Amino acid sequence: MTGVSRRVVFVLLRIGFGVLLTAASIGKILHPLDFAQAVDNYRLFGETLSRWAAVFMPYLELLTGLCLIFGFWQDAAVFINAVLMCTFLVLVLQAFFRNLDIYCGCFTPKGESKINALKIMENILFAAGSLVLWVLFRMHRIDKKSGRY
Amino acid sequence: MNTFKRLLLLGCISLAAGLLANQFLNEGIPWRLLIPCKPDRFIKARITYFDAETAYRISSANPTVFVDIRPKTDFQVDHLSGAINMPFVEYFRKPSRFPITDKNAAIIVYGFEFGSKKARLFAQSLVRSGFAQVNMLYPGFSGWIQAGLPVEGRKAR
Repeated sequence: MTGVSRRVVFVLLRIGFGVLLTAASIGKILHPLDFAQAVDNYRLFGETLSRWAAVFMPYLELLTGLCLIFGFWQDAAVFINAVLMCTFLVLVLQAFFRNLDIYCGCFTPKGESKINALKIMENILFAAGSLVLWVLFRMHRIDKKSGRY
Repeated sequence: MNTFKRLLLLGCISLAAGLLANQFLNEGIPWRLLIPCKPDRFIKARITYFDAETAYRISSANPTVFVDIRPKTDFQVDHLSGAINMPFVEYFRKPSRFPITDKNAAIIVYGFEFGSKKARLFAQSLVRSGFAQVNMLYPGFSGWIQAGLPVEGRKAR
């Protein structure tokens, strides 16, 4: 992959993930109690911690998404994006293997699809994409430092 | 600014924005619900869960106050007869607004859906505030309607 095409893929992925995170945060911001319930359903954090997650996470997603879209603080945003996507994958995987019959809560706090093989595939795709974005960002930075473009 | 500082700043801004916005949002999480409580086993044991028919029978035989925790707009459409409206978020923002002062009053809390988590939290909070007879209508308002029991309000007419 040449430097320019790498840069195009990087920008497309960056904006794509930015839009994804921003869109995912809206429903959670508007219905934090439902989102807290969705987090609590994973049976990992307890009620109070789930509520803290519901207060904190949607705004982190929103800020990260906006940073990705507008190319602001890219280093931090790309890193948070990768961490978020990998965390979501781990959460969904553990719920699947524990046979928890729950809603994912990924994009809307309730009424979304339940955790199944398709949902896991979707999360693997997002996690892989976010890692690719992170690697591309590192390469992009190295290119920039070495003055290739 | 290096990456670590940016990460820290993004985290702090998100937390501050979340805490602030949730105090003003209609369905926000009030700060009182963010404080860790003691284990709930004792509190939970003091709440009685009723199905719709039992709640109706008990409320017909004894003086009972139904507390509807749904938003005002839903309450105005229809509610259980004689119920008072105390929206969930409003209560947790200012518990002193709760209109019942008699700590021995028989109270039945209900939300909309079956096993409403909000209704359960509300009932637990009432027990913590010293109310002696706190009950919950477990099937919620939807279960009450499904059971064909009477309601009042605009829609009921």
